[in-house]
Amino acid sequence: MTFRILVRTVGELLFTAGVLVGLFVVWLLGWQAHVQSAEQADAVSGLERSFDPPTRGAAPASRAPTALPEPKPGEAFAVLRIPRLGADWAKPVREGVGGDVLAQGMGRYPGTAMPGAVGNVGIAGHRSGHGNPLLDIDLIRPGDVLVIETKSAYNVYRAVRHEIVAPDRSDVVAPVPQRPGVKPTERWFTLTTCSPRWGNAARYIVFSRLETAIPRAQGLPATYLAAPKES
Amino acid sequence: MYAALWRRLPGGRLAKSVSALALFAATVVVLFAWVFPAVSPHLPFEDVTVPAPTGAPSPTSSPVSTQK
Repeated sequence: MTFRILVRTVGELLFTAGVLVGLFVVWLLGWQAHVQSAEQADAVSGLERSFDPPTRGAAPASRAPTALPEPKPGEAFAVLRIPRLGADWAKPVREGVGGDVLAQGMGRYPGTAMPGAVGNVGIAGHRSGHGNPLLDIDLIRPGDVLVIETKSAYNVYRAVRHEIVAPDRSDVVAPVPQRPGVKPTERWFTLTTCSPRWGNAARYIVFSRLETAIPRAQGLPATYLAAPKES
Repeated sequence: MYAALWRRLPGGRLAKSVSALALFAATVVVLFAWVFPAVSPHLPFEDVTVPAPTGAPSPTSSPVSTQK
């Protein structure tokens, strides 16, 4: 009799554990992804409104995009667009790479360059969970456009190459990627996320170089956001 | 244990079913609102960063502000 009760209770506990795991998957891929994707989309539209609207016909006050002040921790200061991941793929970029910041979109490594500046902008984002923003980062091909939009400019970067590195390789966000200590002359952008999907054994890194910085007043030519050809 | 729970619920079969469903729904709410958000930061795929560069320039000496 006691043996039957024991077996039954163990069975019920295993069943409960299965239901819990199933509910967690529903929460992660359904609930959390939906809520946080919506929050991030709201953050993007809020940023767009806060940036100066492009003034039609009027000559921009300054030809060159002005340098941005360093954002406060957690502050959203830019919008990242990657047409390869979707024509309307846009995520807010905040200052910092802590878990609370990255739950709200992309995060800039503090101390790395600002978008458009000489040096290297380091940005991290989730690949799995939190709406899976960078789930398909492995689709990015050399030559693909990545736009970091700020209050002053559209910074158009082109992907140069990708690499899968060990999780401790901080040199990927060095001012000259993977050459720490070297004085930068070029404008780089390093995007980091986890690899493989749903794992943390390595980091997936995409290195991009600035092609052009278009003052915000001029607007971004639509060709940059066009869906890239299959490759 | 579920049999014991069922016995403790008051009323007939219908009332018991309604109570059981309400209990399950309340459990799901607690899980979604508090338990899962607390658990998820400890999952492996939350690690998407490399360590901040050692000897990183302080914000004041970042490439932005040095006009060279």
